[in-house]
Amino acid sequence: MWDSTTINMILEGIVGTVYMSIVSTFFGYILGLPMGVLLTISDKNGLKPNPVLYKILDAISNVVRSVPFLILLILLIPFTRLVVGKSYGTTATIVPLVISAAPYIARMVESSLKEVDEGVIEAAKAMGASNTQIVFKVLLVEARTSLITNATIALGTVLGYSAMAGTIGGGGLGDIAIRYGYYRYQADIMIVTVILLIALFQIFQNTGMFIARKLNHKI
Amino acid sequence: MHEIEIKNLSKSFVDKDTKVDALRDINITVDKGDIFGIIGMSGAGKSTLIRCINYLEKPTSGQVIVEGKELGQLNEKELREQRQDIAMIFQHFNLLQQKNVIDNIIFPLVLQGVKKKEAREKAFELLSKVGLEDKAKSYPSQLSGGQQQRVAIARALAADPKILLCDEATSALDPQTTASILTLLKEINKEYGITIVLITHQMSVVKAICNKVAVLEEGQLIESGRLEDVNLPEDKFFWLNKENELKNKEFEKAGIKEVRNYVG
Repeated sequence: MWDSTTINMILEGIVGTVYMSIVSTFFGYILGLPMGVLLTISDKNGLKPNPVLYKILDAISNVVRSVPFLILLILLIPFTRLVVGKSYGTTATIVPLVISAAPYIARMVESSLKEVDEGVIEAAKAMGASNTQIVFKVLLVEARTSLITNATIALGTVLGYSAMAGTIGGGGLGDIAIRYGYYRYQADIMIVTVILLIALFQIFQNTGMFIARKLNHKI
Repeated sequence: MHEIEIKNLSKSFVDKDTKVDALRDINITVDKGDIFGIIGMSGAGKSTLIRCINYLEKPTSGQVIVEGKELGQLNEKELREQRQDIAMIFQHFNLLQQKNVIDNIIFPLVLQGVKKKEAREKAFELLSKVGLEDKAKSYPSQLSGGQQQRVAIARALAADPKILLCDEATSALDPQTTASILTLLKEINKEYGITIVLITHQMSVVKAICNKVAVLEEGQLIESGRLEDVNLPEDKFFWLNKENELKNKEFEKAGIKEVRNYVG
């Protein structure tokens, strides 16, 4: 039915989408995980309360999250050019994806870490654990399942955002869906890309949940 | 030298404009090898008092002297080192849910930078001491309350503490399990010479294992001394009844008729 060019294009689209989602989520965590940890420990009931630091991080996270992704994408074009040298294509899309995902990830990390039982933290303190030890050996370990579950959600969200970036030439499946399906009225291509996006989402979701379940020892 | 000396200790919590005096002018001395029980009903300040002994709660005024060192004088690092000598077990065990029994027991040693192999040897030794050799690979969620408390005791002993603090350690357990845990604590006290300070609202616990006792009421010490010298109410459920009485008064005010606590 389709010629090999179309099929190749769609295959490249899949690779592009997977690449954008995974790399962006990864860098999102590089920024978001420490930010989430800092939010947790600087909070008023945290390990080392610091109202000023908390307020600053809180403000950054809220401001970035309240800017609609499409607007952020456009606002960040000069910055993206500075970082990767161009403002279109999959690699360029990673920049705004990371910026928008990081504060969102930080919030999820914060909520995961705050679920850790106070009593366990107290027990560690009573053993003479330092705050650093509590973060790395208690909080991040005990919250593991919740962190992975949330990472799965983050990956899914980033996948959706990456498709949105297609509107301004972001590459990947979303780009194809918009260029062929919307601008050229090729509904078949649009439907295929949408089905592929759903399939990818399912694969990410199931893999993440499987890992989270495997690693959980609390019933 | 006393093992633990609490001098004129007071603690108040300030929240916005309300100030609550949790503890007022407490004086206690605990000697090496004692099993010291602090009894009182909930809200009397027991939990706050026991947490002052390892400075999880900092007293508002007064001194806590452990092994000759005044905790208030220590800096952060020195305090953490001192805490390694003061183990603690809890009402709800507070084990790491994502680590198995052995990894829980070696945890305090890992914190101190002891080699894993060495730590594990010690942990297996302690595990047989508390009678759970076959549970090494189990996770806390797979164990009963009594078993979890045994793991917590093994964990507490891992770093060779001088003092063991027990925060309502048997309050979540049934009577048989309570008895077996108390026997274990007594053994530990004898065998390792570890000083034990425990807080409880169960008279039976104090009578079963303590050699000294202090009675705490509304943040004040109303009596303390050797078990045989202190006048403890005869009624086994004295504290519980008193708690019920108070609760019922509160409930009456709120228009609810009667509430009873059932003792297990």
